[in-house]
Amino acid sequence: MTLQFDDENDEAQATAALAGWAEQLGFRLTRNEAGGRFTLHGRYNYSIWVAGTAGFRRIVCIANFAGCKNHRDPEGKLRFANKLNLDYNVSKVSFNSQGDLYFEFVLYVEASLTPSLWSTFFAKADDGITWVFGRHKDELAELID
Amino acid sequence: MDLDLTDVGDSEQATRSLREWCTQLGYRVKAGGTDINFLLQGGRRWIIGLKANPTENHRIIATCVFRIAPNSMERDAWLRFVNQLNSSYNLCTFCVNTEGHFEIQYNLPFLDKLSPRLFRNFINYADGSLGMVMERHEDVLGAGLQ
Repeated sequence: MTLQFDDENDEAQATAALAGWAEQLGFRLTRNEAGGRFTLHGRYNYSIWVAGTAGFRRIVCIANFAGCKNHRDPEGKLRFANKLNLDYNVSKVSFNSQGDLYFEFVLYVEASLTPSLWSTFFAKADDGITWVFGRHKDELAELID
Repeated sequence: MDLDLTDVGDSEQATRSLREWCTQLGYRVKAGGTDINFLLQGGRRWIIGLKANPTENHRIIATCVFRIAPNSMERDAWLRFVNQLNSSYNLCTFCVNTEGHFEIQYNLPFLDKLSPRLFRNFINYADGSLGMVMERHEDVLGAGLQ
């Protein structure tokens, strides 16, 4: 059951189409986030939306982890994010102004998306985060709640 | 003609296939520093690598590197800046590499086959979005990069 994006769809419509399709595949999700995003619930929660237009769409998936309020080394935090971005080029890692940690994964598609690409993409994202958490347990214990 | 990497698990072999395919598509390419990458001339010069994984997905990694000017900001200020870019834009990954250069990475995951259209759009998108960031942050990047 391949998802076919309608060429006429704008970003919000493409996001809604993706949400409906993912639900049919058995993914658990919550719709109607601000800006038309949806949250996909799995091992981690991903905020998801579709950007771009017909023929070249970007599916942006962000897993967000609340930052530790007591952390007092902002420069160390940035060095850590930069190191992760350099060492593992699977996702993008950054801290927002509230100190929350973001993992961002992007999937580029043309007009269609197959269940196998979608599923392997998420399995890889899940595994990537789990791997980073395991590998950097001590640093992350100080950075996120 | 799609690039077909069905059952290919060797990244060097996959990178060679990708390089040959890019030549067929009309891109100017030349050898990179290693067997696992090559240079592709788009709107910018991209270092292209491919991580082959037939059981999950293959990934093309397109990297663009700029030398940071010697009299530019301190490293910590650059790290603040790249984190600001990373948290502001959902485009690619910005970082300062181990040589102290400013590095931009785009990732294209795909399954067994890759279409010319998707690849061309990906390179065009990388060229265009990086150009947009460079223009918007001309105040820092114009003076800070060589």
